[in-house]
Amino acid sequence: MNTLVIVLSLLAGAYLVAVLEAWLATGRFRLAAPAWAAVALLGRESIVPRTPDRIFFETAPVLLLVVALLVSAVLPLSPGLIIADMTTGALFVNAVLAYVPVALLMAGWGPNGGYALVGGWRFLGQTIAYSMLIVMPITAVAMRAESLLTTAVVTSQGAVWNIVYQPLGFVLFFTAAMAVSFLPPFDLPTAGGELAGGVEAEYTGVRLGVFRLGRMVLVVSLAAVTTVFYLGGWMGPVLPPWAWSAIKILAVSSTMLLTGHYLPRIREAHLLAWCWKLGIPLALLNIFIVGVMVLIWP
Amino acid sequence: MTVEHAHAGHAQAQAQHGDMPFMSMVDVTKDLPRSRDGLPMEWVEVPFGPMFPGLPGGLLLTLTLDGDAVAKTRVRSVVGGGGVLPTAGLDATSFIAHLGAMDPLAPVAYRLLACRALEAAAGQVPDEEIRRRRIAVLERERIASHLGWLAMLGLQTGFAWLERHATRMQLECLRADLPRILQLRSTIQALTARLVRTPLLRSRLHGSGIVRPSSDLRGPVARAAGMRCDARIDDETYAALAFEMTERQGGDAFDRLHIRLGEMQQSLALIQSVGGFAEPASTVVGSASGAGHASLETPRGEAQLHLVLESGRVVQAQLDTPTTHHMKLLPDLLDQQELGDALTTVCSLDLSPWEVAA
Repeated sequence: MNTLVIVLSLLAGAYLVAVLEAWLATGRFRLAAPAWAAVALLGRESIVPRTPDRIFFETAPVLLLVVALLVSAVLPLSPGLIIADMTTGALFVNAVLAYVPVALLMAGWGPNGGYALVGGWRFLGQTIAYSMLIVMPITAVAMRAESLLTTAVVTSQGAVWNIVYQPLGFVLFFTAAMAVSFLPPFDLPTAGGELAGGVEAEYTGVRLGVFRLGRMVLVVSLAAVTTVFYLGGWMGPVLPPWAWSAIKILAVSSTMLLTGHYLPRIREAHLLAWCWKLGIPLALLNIFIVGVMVLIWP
Repeated sequence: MTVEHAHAGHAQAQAQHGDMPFMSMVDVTKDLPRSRDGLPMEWVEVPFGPMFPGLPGGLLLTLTLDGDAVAKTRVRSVVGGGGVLPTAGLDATSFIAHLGAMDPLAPVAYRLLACRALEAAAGQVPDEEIRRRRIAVLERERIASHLGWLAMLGLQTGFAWLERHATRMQLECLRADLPRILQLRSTIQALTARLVRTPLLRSRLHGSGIVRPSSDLRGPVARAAGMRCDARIDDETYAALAFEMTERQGGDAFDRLHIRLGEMQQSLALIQSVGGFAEPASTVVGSASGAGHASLETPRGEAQLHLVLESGRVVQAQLDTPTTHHMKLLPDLLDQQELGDALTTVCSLDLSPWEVAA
C-alpha cells in the first residue's frame, strides 16, 4: 500500500513540476499543459535512429525512471509512510543516484548521434564534478542523526532543522541535487542552445515521454531527499505530516526550477573547477563544523 | 542527424579481440586521428544548422569534434542572396525594396544604404531633417537588432529569462513610436545593469572567442577589440547629434555584450535628440545617371554599397557586408575551443546569413 501511495505521490508531484516548468517556459499557467504534451508525445511516431545500439537506446529512458523511483523508496513522507526503512537508507540514496550517469551515458551512446554522444560524455564530466558534493553533505547529515536511517535523520531535526544547523551543507547538497537532475544551469547533457536536446535529441514519441517523465520524477525525488535531509521531513505544525512533506517537496522543486530560469548555463570546465577547488573544501569544512557542533549542541 | 561514429567500429574491434591473444590498445587506435595532445580519438562531424536553436537561422556550421573540442570548422550560408541584382537592373524604388528585403534582420539599414547610394549617384542631398529622422529609424532598428541578439544569446546559453525578456522587448521596440520607445529607456537600463551584474553570465562569456584587431573586423566586434571602427564617426549628421563611439579592449564575447548594451542606450539618446522617424522607403532620382557610393553602420557593422545608375535604373551594384568578413574568422577562432564556448563565440559575432551569398 505504501509503495502505491508513494509512487502515485511522486507522479502527481512530477505532473505539478511539469506544469511549473511549462509556465516558466511559455509565461502561461495551464494546468492541462503536461497532459496535452503527453498526449502529443504518445501520438507521435517513435522513431528509431538508423544504426542504434538498440539495448542502450531502449533501456536508458526506463533506467532513468526506475532510478528516480528507487531514490524515493527510502524516503519517509510521514511516520510509517515509507517503502523500505533501511538501516543504510542515506547510503542507498547515494548508491541509487550513481545510476543516473549510467542512464545518461546509455542515452548518449545508444542512438549513434553526435548531439547525444556529446551530451552523454558531458554528463560524465558533470558526475565527476557533483559526486563528492552529494556524498559529503550526506555524511554530515548522518553524523548529526548518528544513523543512516532516513526516519532517524528526520527525527534528529526535531529541535532545529538541518537547513539552520548546517546551512553550508544544505547549499552544497541543493546545488549538487540540481546538477544530478541536470536542471539549468547544469543542463549540460541536454543544452537546448548547444546540443538541441543532447541525450534527448534522438528520442521521440513514447520513449521521449518516458525519458522526460523520468527526469521530472528525479527532480521530485531529489526535492524529497532535500526535504528529508534538511527541512525536517514531515515535521510542521497544524497540518498533517504528509501535507508538510508535500508542501516542502513542491517548494524545493519550484526553487530548483526558478533558480535555473534566472541563470545562464555554466561552463563545464568552470563546474569542475568550482566543485573541486571550492565545493569539496567547503564540504569538508561543513563536516568539521557539524562534528564540533554535535559535540557541543547535539 | 546521425553520425556513423562508432558501433560498427566497436563490433570490429570486438571481433579482433576474439582473434587476438592480447587486446592491444595501440592496434585498436592506430588508425584514429590524433588530438593536439597526441591522444587518438574518434572524430565526429556534426552539423549545427541551418535551423539550430541558439544560432541564426540559415547558417550552416559543420564542426568536426575531437571529443568536445572543435578540430575543424566549415561555415556557409544557405539563405543569403548577398544583394545580387537581377540582370535587367532595377528602378530606384524597386532597388531600395530589393536591398531591404535582402536581410530580414536589418531591412531598414539596407534600405537606407540604398537610398544614400542612389542619392550619391544622382547628386542629390536630402534635407537635413530627413537625414536626422532616417538616423532615428536606423537607431531604432539597432536597438531591436541588439535585443534580438540578446534573445539569441539567452537561448544559446540556456538563460531562459533573458531569452523571453529580450524577445518581448524586441517586439515592442520594432513597433514602437517615439513616446513608447523612450518609455523603454528605463527597462533597457535595468536590463543592462542586471546583465552586467550577473556573475555567471560574465564567467560564461569572459575569455570566449577573443579576436585581435584586424582588417576583417566590423561593428561591435571591432569596437570590442579596441578598434575605432564605426561609419558613424565620419557622418556629419551623427556629429551634429554629438555622437561618440564606445570601445573596449578585451575583444571577447563579454566585451561584445558590453558594447551592444552600451549602444542600445546610446541609440535611445540619439532618437530622443532627433524627436521623430522617417522611413527610408523611396528617393527621387528621376532619369539621372552616374556612379554612387555609400557606407552605413548597420547593427552588425559597416556595410558599403557601390552602384551604377543609368537613366534612373540601377544596372550594377556591389555590396560589402560585415558578416562576409566575420564568417572568415570562424575556422581559426573556433579551433580547439570547447563546443559550448565555440557556439557562444559564433553567437557573440551576431552573424546574419542573409548578408552573405549562399
